[in-house]
Amino acid sequence: MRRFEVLAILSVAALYACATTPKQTVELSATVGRDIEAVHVAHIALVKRYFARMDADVNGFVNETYRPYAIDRTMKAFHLVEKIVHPPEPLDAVDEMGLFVDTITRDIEGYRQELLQPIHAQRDKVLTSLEDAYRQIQDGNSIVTGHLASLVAVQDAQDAALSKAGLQGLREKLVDSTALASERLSQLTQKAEFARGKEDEIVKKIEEVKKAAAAFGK
Amino acid sequence: MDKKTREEVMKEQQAELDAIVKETRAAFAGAYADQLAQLQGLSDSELSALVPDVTAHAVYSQLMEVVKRASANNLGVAELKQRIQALGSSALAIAKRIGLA
Repeated sequence: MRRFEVLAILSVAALYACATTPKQTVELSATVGRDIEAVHVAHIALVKRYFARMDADVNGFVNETYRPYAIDRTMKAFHLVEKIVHPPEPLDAVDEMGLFVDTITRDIEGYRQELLQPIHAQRDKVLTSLEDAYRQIQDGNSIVTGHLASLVAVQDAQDAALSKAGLQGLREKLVDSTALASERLSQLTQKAEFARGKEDEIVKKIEEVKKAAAAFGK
Repeated sequence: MDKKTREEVMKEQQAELDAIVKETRAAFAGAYADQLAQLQGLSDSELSALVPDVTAHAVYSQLMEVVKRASANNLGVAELKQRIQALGSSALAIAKRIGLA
């Protein structure tokens, strides 16, 4: 029974004998994922800062250029001072002043929003595209990390099984083994899964594998 | 002739102000055209440069699906110790026939 277990374990090992995956590959991939996230955060911060600067430029222009221009021109065109002194009946100076202040404030803030709106639309577009791109890259990297972890899990299972059979290091030997021997062992595994009632056929294969296993042990 | 009500005069004053504001906007756009052009945000080419041209999401999805299936298969293989034990009854019969057990 023990010798059969060895053969079965050998067949498992043979399925994945063509590669070795150190645990550090998983760690490296996870590290790359964390660093991508760090770059992501910095990139988003840079874009937000860039567009905030554009916002500031617009606000500065509106506050320092448009507002005085609009107030001055509108006051003169509306004859505000005259209307405060001689308001049209039945209004008073407060009515005229209130009307002017409300209108000019609404105009200045409306103009500010008109200038900011396309910049905010561009900012949202860039941020959305960046978030989508980083999410896609992170998702892809996570899948790769998971796959590497699965390879390591397979390897650990092989090592545990081989160790239990007293064949530590056999996997490394199998990496260097011939493709022919691996193919024979793989075939045995497939046959063994359907072995019930087919012992005679399998016995012949076992004999072949015994020869292959002996070769691995050398 | 009846005197205008307060609301009527307020409405007239508001209309006068609105017209002035509209003219002021137009005059300002002409006087500060250069500065306004600089505040228009990014050009199309500048915007394109900021938007990463990554691989299409559909391609990523297809690739990730394949790799996820492969990972699931690998994790299945990692549990093959149990499968080997499940093969035990047949294996035992075979082993007895060839004198291994």
